[in-house]
Amino acid sequence: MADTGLVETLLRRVEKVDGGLDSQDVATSLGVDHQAIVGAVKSLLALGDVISAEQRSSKHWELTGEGCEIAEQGSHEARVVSSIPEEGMPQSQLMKLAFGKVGFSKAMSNKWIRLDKGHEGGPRIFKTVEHLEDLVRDKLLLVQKGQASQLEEKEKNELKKRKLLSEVTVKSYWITKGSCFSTTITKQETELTPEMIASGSWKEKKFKPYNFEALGVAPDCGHLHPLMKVRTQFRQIFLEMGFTEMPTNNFIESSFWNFDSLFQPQQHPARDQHDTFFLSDPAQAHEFPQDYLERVRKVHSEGGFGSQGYKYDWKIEEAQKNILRTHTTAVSARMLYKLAQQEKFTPVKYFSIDRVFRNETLDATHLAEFHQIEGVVADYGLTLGDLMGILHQFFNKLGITKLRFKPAYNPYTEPSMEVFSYHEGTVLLKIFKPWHVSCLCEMCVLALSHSNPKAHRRRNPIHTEYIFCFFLHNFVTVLSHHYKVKVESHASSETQPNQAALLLTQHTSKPGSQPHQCVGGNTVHLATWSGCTAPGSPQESLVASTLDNCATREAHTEAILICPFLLTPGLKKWVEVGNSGMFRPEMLLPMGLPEGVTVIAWGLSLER
Amino acid sequence: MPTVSVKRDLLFHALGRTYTDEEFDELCFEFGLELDEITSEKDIISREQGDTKAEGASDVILYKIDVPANRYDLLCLEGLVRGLQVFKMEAPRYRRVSPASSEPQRLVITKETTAVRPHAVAAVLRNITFTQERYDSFIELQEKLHQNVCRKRTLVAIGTHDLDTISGPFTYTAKPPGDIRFKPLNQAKEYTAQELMSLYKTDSHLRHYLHIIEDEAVYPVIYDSNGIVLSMPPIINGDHSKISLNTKNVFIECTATDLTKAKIVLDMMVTMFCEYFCFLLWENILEPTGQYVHSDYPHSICNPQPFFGISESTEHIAQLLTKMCLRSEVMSDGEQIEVEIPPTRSDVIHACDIMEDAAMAYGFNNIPRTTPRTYTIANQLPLNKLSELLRQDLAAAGFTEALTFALCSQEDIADKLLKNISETRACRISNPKTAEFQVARTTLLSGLLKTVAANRKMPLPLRLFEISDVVLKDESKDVGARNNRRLCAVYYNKSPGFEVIHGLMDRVMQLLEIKPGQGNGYHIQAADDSTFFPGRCAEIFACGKSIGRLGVLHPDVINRFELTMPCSALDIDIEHFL
Repeated sequence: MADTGLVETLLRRVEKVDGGLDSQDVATSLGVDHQAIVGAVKSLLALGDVISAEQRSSKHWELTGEGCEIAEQGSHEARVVSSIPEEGMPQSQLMKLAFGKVGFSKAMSNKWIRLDKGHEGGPRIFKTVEHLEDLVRDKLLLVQKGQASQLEEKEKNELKKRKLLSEVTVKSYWITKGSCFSTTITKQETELTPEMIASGSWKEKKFKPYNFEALGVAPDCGHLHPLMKVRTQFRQIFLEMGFTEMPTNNFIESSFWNFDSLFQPQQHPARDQHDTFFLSDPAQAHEFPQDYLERVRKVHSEGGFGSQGYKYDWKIEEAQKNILRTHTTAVSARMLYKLAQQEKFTPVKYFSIDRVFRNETLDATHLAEFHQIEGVVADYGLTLGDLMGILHQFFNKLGITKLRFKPAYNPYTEPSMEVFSYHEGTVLLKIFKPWHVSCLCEMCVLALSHSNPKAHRRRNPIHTEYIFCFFLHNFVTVLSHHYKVKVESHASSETQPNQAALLLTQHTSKPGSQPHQCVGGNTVHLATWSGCTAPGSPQESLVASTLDNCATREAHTEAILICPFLLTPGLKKWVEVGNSGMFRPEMLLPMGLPEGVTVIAWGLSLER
Repeated sequence: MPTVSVKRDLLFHALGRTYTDEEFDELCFEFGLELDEITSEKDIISREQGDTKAEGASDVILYKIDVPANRYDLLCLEGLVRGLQVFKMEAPRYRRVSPASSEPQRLVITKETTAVRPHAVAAVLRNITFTQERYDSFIELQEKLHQNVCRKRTLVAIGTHDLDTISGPFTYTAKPPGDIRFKPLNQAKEYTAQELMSLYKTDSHLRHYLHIIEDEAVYPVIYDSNGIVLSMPPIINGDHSKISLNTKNVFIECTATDLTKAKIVLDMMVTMFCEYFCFLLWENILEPTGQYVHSDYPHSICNPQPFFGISESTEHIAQLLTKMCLRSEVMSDGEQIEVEIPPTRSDVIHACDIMEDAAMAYGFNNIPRTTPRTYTIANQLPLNKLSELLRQDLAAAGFTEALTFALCSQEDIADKLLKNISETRACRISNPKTAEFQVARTTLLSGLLKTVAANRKMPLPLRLFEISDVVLKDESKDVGARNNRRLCAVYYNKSPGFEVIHGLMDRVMQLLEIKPGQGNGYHIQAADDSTFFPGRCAEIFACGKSIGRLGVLHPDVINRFELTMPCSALDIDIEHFL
């Protein structure tokens, strides 16, 4: 609270005038600092409608420090003249004076003094005038008295150039009476205290209103990683559907379980060095179920189990090679083999969500490791209709209701189907609702999977990657625990949405970046593009013209957890969401599963 | 997925009707193809080289179509048309014919070839008429096959020759490079094989194939009966026998390291083009590819209905298959179907492949969706259940979850943590594309410290944790390595905060219902660890076993992760608590 005395003085002044008064004038007339008046005005404003104040700004001229000195003692040139005695003084002596240098040249050009260069004992200066008019000082004195208006602009500018004057902007308030004007004020309490409650004094007190526009204090708490939250939700869905979790805690796998047992031939491109991480230490797996291995060799090289096989020279050396698993289907194979060793077959439903690895150089559209979601059902007589039915139920739980299926090729499933879902419009998936709905609504996501063919074409079809690009729309507050990022608008410059992203993830733009590393972050492909439309309805134009050209970039914001599913308004399009199929008999029968048992499976990726 | 580009109008002409782009896209979808791009040569050139270069280029509309990797028969216009015409065309039947007037041609394979490229098959297409389009398509198909099923000529290489310029029988043999001398395709003079290898070192196309035979003692070569070189597979053909628009009889040879693939490739070359050539003559030469590997391959399918999940009559399914170019008849028992697999369909190796075609012809999306009646009880993996429970509580304790890569550089887990790589039991990757992926991580700490470094601008303190797997070498496992589930947390602030990280550990133990104390409880005792500041590291024991460490990180570790503040860390193995 400002000084009460000043506040009351101010109120009395306001009471006396009819129209209103300027805070600057009040300060001058009271002889107090203007800031003190401003403080008084602000504290009165906080009391409600006692006064009203309108902010104004005005410009006026003020003397600089040097200007003040001149106004007081005269201009440098005048002081030079007055300091020279009748007999003159040596130039060297004059120059020692503080005002000597400037004053000398000005006085010379005014012809107030003359210089005798040939004088004995060095150059000497003599006065040429007795009385002079110190115009500079007069002008400055005018300004000091607040009569700067009497000077011409040109004169003022000249003085400004000499750094004697400066133009300052003054902010002041135009103060008028408010609807509840009164010259007496009661002090308002800010907060309820234990003493008030104990004494009951709160009943008499007036309390200062809260500012409900302000933000609260951020709670001091930890957070789960958004991608891991999504994983938890998927896990929950599988558990609800009666699926048992597979032990996928073995990143290193032999080629045998990763490829051969799945009837993937040894010359298959996925087994190339380009696509798969091979291990140099431990380079080989050394233990296989021998009779099963023999049946696998046979079905590849000679056929059997109703199949002609691939008819090539199957090599154990290839099967022994250790790799970082390229899909969790390697674990499904182990589980199905284990199932086949049971005395009596029992139907199973399995799932897993865990990391898989691909030999990629990190860039905006490629990660070397990501999470694969996989579901497997084994029972007698499962049909293609069952596969589509169960997928329908699964995606339904994600809020995706419209599905269709496209024939595809995959070495270990037949038939193989790509799953497409129709993006209707803005649909918030059920599983994301608990978090950050406000920012999700503001945000639209575009599926790039169709416009960036190179990025997903060469992948194994069971988890063709999805590339989603993000578009921060309008005022989006990305609510992440540590971050509060405001993106004003994406439109004008290409860099703007990036800046938002980069606030969170500067490291991603460097080579060798670690997209997963951001706290609570997640990998996202934030698109930057030129030619965006203004905020409002940008989606159509984006879809139509810019997706192909947009450079994608990774970013980590909390908001991205919607990436695979949040649907863009206007993106009325079928988008691939996963892969599915029925495992080939050449895979199942050598394991020892009974004839007539069919296994249906599907996979998708958690982050892409 | 291979992409085939075809001229739209030619395609529509061959299909006998026109489609809008949307209709065609839909047709592709049903057939498992993808209309990837609609473009023209002009577009392509202007995109790749700029508008000026594109002037004068053809603006005939091209469809770029993605075909499944196993459907080699869809790699050219002819095959695509045959595939897409399923709903109206009768399946063509391929027949092998012997020449009326002469002996069948022969290709003799000598045993020298076993050292380098042991297999060869060949055929002759007779009385053919090329047009420019057919000729282009013929060449294009060879190239597509080379890139796909032939695995860039390593498995199979194709050579085509004008039969009328050469005379059989032909000999496939292998000779030292210095002994092979001929005028290669489109060159003006003769070269030895050695000279050719150096000549093609700079050839943008051929240099990619040189490695296949470069280091061999002998190179494969095919001669005719007069000693004329037909080709030096898999590198180049001879100029003498090259085909042209005027060629009437084509001799096709496929040399290979994989005989099955060689037969598939030869079948494709022959069947794709026979429809233009009324008097096809397909001769077997030595290797009996022409047995029509598949043609007399009947498939019996018992009761196809359960597969679909619908009840369709066996007759109808047979009709569907016939529409898919798989000529089918219901057998006398009324339940089984006999299917004739044409040589174009090398992808059909099991009854399930046939059933997929039936399902495609029926339309995947026309099959009613049913819910399996499979009854099961769900179980969580205990390790994951434990991790999930701990994650929630660590977040509630004020720590934020991070997610870091399981692969990293060797430096990350060794040098930067002041450890020797040999003591880490790290699994090493042999073929990483970047130094970022040299090893599988053996600790979560380096990932968390990198995360801190990436978030240096955030307000202090930073409290992070991760519960995830590291990978350690383990001889007792079949693959020689195992995952290990760890819990790691760091506290980064102006003061080291050992008490904070210690308090977190106490909380974890409380959650796991382990009380402080020796024996069955938990306790910590001073330990030496190079990663930690001397005197500020303790080993954690629970139920008598060492489960991990906590302490204040060594200043050199902090520096190496480009950090500036003191930092304390906790790293424990949670598999003990299962």
